[in-house]
Amino acid sequence: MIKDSELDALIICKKCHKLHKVEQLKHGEIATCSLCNTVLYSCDQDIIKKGLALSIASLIFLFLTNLFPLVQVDFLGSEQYVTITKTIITLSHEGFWFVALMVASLIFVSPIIIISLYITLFMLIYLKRNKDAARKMLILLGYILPWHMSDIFLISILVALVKLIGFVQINMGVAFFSLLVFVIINLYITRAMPMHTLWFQYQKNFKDEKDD
Amino acid sequence: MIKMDDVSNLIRCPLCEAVNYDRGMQTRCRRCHSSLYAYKYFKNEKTIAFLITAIIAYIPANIYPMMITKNFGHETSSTIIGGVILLWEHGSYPISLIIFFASIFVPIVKFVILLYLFINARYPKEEMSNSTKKSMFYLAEIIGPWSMIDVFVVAILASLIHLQSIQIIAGDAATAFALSVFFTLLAAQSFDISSIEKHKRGIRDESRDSNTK
Ligand SMILES: [Zn+2]
Ligand SMILES: [Zn+2]
Repeated sequence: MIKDSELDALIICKKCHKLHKVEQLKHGEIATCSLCNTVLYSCDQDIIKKGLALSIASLIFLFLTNLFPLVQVDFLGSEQYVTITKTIITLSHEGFWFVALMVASLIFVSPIIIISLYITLFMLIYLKRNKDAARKMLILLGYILPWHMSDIFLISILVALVKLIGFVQINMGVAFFSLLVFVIINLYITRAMPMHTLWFQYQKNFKDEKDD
Repeated sequence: MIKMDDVSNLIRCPLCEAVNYDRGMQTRCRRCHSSLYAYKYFKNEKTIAFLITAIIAYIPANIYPMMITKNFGHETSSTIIGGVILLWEHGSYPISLIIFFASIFVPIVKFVILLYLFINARYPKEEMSNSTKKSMFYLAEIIGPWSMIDVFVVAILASLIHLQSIQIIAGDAATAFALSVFFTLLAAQSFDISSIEKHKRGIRDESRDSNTK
């Protein structure tokens, strides 16, 4: 029978599913898959503190993104602007309630939940408190992460604007730039702190405590 | 002892990425206690149900208009393919290619990969190595969300261009397309990646289940 500690010393590549032994890295080192070069894990001693700071910063940018207009256009003297909430409301007003629901969950609800989960998780792990809640949050995070599409929405704004070039005068809004910053921070968090790193930190910090 | 070249007894939990020893009918991950990855026959049945729904929804998504433009009372509507061709003719090649990639290439590639993997898990043929098949699944997962681009673009334009003289309205294809993306995401998430390897063992698995229980 294989013990859990033996299994913990293993990692399977998410891309090609090759099995690797987890090796002790020095600070700043990165381990990649020998077959497909995908990043497997890295070693960063301040990862929890860094994660907490970054997720609080991205919460601020998320607020700005949802409060201010993304883009404003001038067409024949009349001004029009668009915000994330206006996009969702317009869709549901026109009877596209399923599209509205999907857009709302992918670019409005999911990011808010994910960032709140990150902040609470990093805090709980840092303070080594409430192991059970941390575990539940990690599971929830695993379920919600695939339902977050702020990055794709950002690209979509650019595509929409390119379609309008020549017809209207375009002014980028505050929310567009805060969305850009939010997406970049978020990309960094998901790359530097993927699920197995978070679980590893969870196991490391709650080692002394009994399970449930 | 664990053999490093043999992953057939080990499963990667798709939720928390922990390596688990495969106990056949054992249903829970040792770390996150999720029952997601376990060896259940009905798992991939759910995948195929979602996938078929997604493919069916993809048909009206291509027939009905995606975007309707009202220009001084004059109405023009375009389907997904129509929009791609129109953009190409107007010389917006990059945008035309992006929409083609997001709305036509990605969904079809994803349908084909998931269908192939589902059929292959059922009726195994050793045409491709298991790691290639797993990389294909990974590819389908990575490119999948990008198919939302056109829906987002229409949503943005519809709420931005709302003037007396000129209006952009979403078409019925938007709902069909969003449904299609939704169900493909569900299909990919419910797919049991360990079923790619499972057929190698078959009977041995079940005898081991009864022993460990
Ligand atoms: Zn690999
Ligand atoms: Zn797990």
